[in-house]
Amino acid sequence: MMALTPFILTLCVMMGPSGIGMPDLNTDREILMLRLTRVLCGLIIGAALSCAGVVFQAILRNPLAEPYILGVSSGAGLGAAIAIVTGIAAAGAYVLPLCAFVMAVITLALVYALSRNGDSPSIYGLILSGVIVSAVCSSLLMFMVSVSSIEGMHSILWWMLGNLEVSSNNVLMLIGVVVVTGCFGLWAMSRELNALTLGHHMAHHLGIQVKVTIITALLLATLVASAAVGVAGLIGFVGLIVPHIMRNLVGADHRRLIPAAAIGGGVFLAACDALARTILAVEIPVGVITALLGGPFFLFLLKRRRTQSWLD
Amino acid sequence: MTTAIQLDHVTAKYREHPVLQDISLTINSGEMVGILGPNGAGKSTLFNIVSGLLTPATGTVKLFNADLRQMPPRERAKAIAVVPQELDIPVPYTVEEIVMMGRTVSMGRFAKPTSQDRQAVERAMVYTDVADIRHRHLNELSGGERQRAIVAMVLAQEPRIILMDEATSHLDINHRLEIMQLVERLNRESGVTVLMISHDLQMAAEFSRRLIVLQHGNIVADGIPSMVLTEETLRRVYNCDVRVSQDPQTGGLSILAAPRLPAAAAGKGIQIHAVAGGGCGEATLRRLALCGYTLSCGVVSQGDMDAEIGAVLGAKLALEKPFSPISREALQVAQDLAFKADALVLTPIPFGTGNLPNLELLESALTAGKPVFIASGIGNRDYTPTRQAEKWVQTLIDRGAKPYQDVAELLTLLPAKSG
Amino acid sequence: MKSDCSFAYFTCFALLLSGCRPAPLPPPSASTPRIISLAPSITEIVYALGGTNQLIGRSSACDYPPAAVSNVPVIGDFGVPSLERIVSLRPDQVLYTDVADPMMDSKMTRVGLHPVHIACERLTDIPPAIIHVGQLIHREPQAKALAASLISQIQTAREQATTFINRPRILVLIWHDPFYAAGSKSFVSDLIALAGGQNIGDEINRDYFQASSEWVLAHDPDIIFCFFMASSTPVSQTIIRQPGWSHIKAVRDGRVYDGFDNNVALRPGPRVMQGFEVIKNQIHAKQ
Repeated sequence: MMALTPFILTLCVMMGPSGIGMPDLNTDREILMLRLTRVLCGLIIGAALSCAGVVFQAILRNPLAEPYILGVSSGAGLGAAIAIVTGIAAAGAYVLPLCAFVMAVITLALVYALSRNGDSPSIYGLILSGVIVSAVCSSLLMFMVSVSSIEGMHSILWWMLGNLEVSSNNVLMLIGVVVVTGCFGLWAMSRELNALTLGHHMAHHLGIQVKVTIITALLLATLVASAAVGVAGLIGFVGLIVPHIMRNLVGADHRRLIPAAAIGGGVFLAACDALARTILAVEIPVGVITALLGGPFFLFLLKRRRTQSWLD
Repeated sequence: MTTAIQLDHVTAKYREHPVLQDISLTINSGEMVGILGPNGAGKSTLFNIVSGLLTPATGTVKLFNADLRQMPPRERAKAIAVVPQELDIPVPYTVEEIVMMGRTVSMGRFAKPTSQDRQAVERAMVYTDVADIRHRHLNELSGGERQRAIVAMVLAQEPRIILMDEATSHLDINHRLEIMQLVERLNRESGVTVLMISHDLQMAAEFSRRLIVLQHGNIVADGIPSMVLTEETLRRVYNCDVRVSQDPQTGGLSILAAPRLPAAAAGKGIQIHAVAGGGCGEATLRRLALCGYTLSCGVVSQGDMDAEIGAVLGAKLALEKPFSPISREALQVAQDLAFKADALVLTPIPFGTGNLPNLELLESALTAGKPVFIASGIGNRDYTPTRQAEKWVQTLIDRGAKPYQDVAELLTLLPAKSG
Repeated sequence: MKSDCSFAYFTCFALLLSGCRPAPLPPPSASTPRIISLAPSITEIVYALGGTNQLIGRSSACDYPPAAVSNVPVIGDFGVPSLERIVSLRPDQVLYTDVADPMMDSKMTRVGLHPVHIACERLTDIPPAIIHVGQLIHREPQAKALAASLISQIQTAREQATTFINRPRILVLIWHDPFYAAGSKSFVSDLIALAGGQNIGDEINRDYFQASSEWVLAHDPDIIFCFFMASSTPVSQTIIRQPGWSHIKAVRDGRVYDGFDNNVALRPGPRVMQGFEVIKNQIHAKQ
């Protein structure tokens, strides 16, 4: 699989709305740059969402968990809507991603505060608070959409559909640093995450500080996911499906799973984006392709190796 | 002798509700201790306190003379490990991966498993006999194999104390034995201190060298099994009648719960004297007792099964020495009992010359005008040389004793409480 | 295997590093700059000024004049252009009115394009927009003439509007499910005012807003304009059957109009007066 990665990435760079083929370095330099940037963005965002997905699934011990489950998507969407409707989004390349990011982090803090019940945060408490806070954020978002101008509505919806075109290389580099650091930090917590999947009590008996681990992992995963969402909007399905696919391929040990998810998720998203911008005359939102590809592929894997899936 | 676990005046609460009351306890290294008690006694709470899951409201907990509260989790995991009742693991780990998790705190954060780690895992898997299923996934295994894998994980942790929290409750008898023997071997060979909670009193008695009984958050008994497992203690703690006996074959203690007798019944206040023996009167005695009749029984030999049953049922007994023919003294005791009875029943017992005098009781009763009931089929049960019993029973029937086929019929014939 | 990977990674990385600063495109050519239009109104202006040959790309919504635009490649939908397509066509300038991505301007600048925002939302924007486009494509004289003509037409209409005795109250709907009405910030509101009508939506300070049946009934308009198409039955028929709407004056008087060509009536471009005439005639039809 590792050998396949550069091959797939090269293919991605060769695909685009202006034609299939590697853009010439001299005459088509900008197009090459555009494509390379999108592929790089896909790698970063895909890695971020997949790693966050792996960690959320481990902490919440739930195969349906994904990075948006604790309100990251609703919070980020609300932040973006606020930035767009108030008009500050056009002020600078950092503004919209920053607003989305900040709102997402606030949302997580709120979810955590609401779910506190004694010593360790309970799983059901977290999920329930996530649902509640998500609902509130979504309603506020819908309210903003309803009172905005048609242009504003168009802009908000367009942002929410998800897009890998960045407005500034600096923003991409910053997000890249955040994501790489965050994913590395999560990988460093692999053995704690492994132990956590056995349940809070068993993890405690194995010598893990359960509460600290959960908070740190949640924080890192949310930071990484929020950074991704701030830049690229709400790209769905990657954070849910890639962890399962990689778990099927390399096993459930997080020391192998997290790096595999990062690479697998990055390549998957880059490939989906390449398809999204090439197959039709108009660019399809990348989230559509991730769902259309990811779902059937996962089903195929499920059928092949029944014993190794979580969902039995 | 090092102290493995020391509890001093520990009180534990769950949200202001006290569960353990001022417990002080010392467990030495290498001991194998069973923790018993009814539901709600505080056994699991005790384990939570000792393993650090719950902080005591008052008092101190020390593991190997180090205060548990100050102990960093790493050290604690190296000192004490827990085998849970069952582990619901949704993620599909292989046996080897699960066992490797036991090395969680022993391994470095970024380092790959060292040879030391691998050896510990290998040893653990061999010890628990899961080495040849190491690549199978946990959800494919049987209950016993799963639990063995989990015990292997705990062994790989190389703790000095192991807590087994009803670790065999969900297993079949053979798997249960497997795990217990494994743990016992571990305790014997490596000196690991073991504490086990079990509702299987038998198994706890069998494998523990010391038993601690909890009730309402207090320790009510602490000592060797035969001293702790008395009917008195068990009756008080579990609030039901039990019989403790020693199994002749295995030598192990056998604990049976005796069902409590229902209160109001047809026979309340009526005394029946039953002639029984050899275990043949058992069914009759039980049914009569269930219906509330006050029972007396005799003459039976000491140690006879019907004597034991009668004693359990609370019947007054007229006893004779074992393997002796019925003496006049014993018969007199029986006569006194029969005199107080409202009716007499001859259960379907075999007769020999030894217990023939019992039939005199029936004679006297008939003379006194009391109802007498005789189980039919005496002809098959007469082992006297001249078939005396059969003839005698016939005369009794001629004089007014009523024959009955089975217990059901007997119950319809017996005098019952009116209204 | 491993060396293959390393080489591949190295190549990718080298490529990235080498092209970090894109080479800027050559400055606009002196006489006939090649332009891409991202809005239908701009496209129409370009054609009205005779810049047919200069248009090398358009949005999918640019549909007039049909014969001319069919030869021009499409670079995306209205509001969501494809950067890569634009770049591959090598334009001198990219003209836009409104794009969904607030950062699109800087994104285009970043890849070496020259984006120009043309303000063209309201009636009074049109003449200056024509001048602006004229300057950009080097057809100033044509632009001046067209703009002057438009200004005088608007002025005439304005003067005529002051002579009308009654100013009918008008509801402008651009969609029916839910009802979307035109507010004070919409282009069509300008047209209504110019034609001597009174847009009941003017009290709402937005471009378009969701209107409830109750609100419409409370305002009781004299005329209802439906600027949308329904599937088979004429729109006006479905509107008048809305529960409660039979009490509205416009419905009772039979003054519910549909069948407008949105591409003319709702587009702030050179053909604005065409659309305006249609609206004006409908307003004063039964006088």
